[in-house]
Amino acid sequence: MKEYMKTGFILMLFIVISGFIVSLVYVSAKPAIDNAELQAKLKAIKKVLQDSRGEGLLIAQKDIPTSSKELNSAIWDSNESGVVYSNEKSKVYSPVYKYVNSKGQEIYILTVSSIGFGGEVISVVSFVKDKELYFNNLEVISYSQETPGLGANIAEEKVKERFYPISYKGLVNGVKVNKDAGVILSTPEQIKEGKEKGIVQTSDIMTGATITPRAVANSINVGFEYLKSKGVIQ
Amino acid sequence: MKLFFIFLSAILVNNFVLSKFLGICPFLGVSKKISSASGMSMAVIFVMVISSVITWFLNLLLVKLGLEFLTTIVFILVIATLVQFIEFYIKKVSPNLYEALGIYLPLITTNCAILGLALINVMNNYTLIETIIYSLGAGLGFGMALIIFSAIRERMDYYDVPEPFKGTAIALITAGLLSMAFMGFSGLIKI
Amino acid sequence: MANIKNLKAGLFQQNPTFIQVLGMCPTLATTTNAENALGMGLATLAVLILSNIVVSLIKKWVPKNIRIPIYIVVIASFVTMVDLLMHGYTYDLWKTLGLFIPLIVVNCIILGRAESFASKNSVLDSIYDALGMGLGFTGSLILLGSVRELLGNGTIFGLPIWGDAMKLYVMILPPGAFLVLGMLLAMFNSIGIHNRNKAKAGEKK
Repeated sequence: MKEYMKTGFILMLFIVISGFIVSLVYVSAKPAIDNAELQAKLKAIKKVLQDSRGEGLLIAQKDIPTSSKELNSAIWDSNESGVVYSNEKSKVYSPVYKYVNSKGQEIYILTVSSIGFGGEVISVVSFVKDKELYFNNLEVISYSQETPGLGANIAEEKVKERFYPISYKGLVNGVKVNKDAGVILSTPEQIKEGKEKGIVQTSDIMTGATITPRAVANSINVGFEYLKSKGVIQ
Repeated sequence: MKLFFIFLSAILVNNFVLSKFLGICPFLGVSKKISSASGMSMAVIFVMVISSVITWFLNLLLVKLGLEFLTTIVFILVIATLVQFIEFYIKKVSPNLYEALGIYLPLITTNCAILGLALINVMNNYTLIETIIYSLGAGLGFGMALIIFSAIRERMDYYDVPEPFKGTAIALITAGLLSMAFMGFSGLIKI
Repeated sequence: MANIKNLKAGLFQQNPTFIQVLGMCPTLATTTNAENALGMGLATLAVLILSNIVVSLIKKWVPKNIRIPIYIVVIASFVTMVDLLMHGYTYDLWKTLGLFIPLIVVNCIILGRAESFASKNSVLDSIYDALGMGLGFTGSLILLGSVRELLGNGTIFGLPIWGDAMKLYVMILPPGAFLVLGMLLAMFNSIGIHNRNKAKAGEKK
């Protein structure tokens, strides 16, 4: 019995010491971790504030958030549980940000997710309410479980570009990838026209991958549903 | 319905061994005979379900205490202890079962599929029921891949494999072909 | 001299990937391109060196019957530290490697070296051993990652080699990992066999 107590005690001691050291590392690395997370988020938000229908940014350069304080002042909707809206396929995460620019356009920035090939695909998306609401821009921030070289190509700019802008009519139809819509759009005009209807051409630049772009399309749809439920669209 | 999808995708589409690369060591190590492969699979399924339930509760506790960064350490210790306990318990209660599973249990501690599963459950924010279903699926998927693979390897002993390919090399290539076959399931579930 | 020998053993004669066939999970999973392979290799190398040092330092105070749990605690602590530091300072890499950083804990190479080498040898020898094994592992990962990236995407470390001329997507997909590793293993085996035959022939003369 005494032997057991002794070995137990030694094991305990090792666990306590290593736990203590790890905690020290954690405390000293925490600011860097928070900062890295924040920078990644700010970068994504800056990206989706780019105007996809025109040139440049949707809001003035000086209004682009650069710290968590500035970002928090733009919160429009949030809740405790961390998810503000969900349907069976997708979620909208808290918080949701809103900006109003000098032209009176309302810009909504949402963090949305949907299930991809291996796990969640999380994107930051922006919707703009002008006269009519439209889908403005997209940044995919988490896709680590997607297949590299296939689904993970979703992070490439030329792929993301295919998803925006999507007009109000397209959003009402529901955004679909071209494979699900059963069409292939080849010329730039056709691709642009497709976006009006909510059809996103991806099969040519994402050979073999359908599940990941489908997840992104679903994320856009859930964002639209959420804004509808909040009464942004009548 | 969602539970069924989780279950099916864990077995076929996102098979732990063939598409997530978790638990490769036992997959290559204990697959020379069907009998040992099935023993190992049973042990893995058993430990997977129990350990993921326990780690699910532990994670709640860690989140409450704000100690998420200790997840890895706590999980691996719990899994190691749990495997020890299961071993003692089975030995006492059912010597027959112990004979069947006994030698595989110590190997399980260093099986990354167990720790990987516990961490994936946390990452995906599964509820308790989803966790159980997913673990069961993951275990069955592991078992299925292992048993199919060992059946192939048993037969392979009768064939004339070129000298440099003997042993692990041909096993890996076989696993590659098997993984390719499993990829065919990827269109099975439309999410 | 002994140190150089330890170092070389890990790199070649006892290469953890191609000779001992250990640590297969991260080897297969993170080698979709050369860059990820390098990141994973270096993270493992760091944990291996640190844990070998500590295991060698504490070997006197570790009771034999609970040595494995203690080694696991030591390794898990270092893995957590590496995880935290990578999260803070190499955010993008941390995101891509994802689950496989915490899983360094169960990489058999690390526990294996702690148990079979560091617990019996001096600190300095253990460092050389860890360096040899870690670099051997990193090298194998980079080799595998480069081959897969080249065949699957036409690039190495993101630099185009033959670009879009040939892309075998299957090589970046899970089956490709098994196939390429199997082929490389067979290649190294045949080199080994060739060398042995040569040595035998030399003896006869």
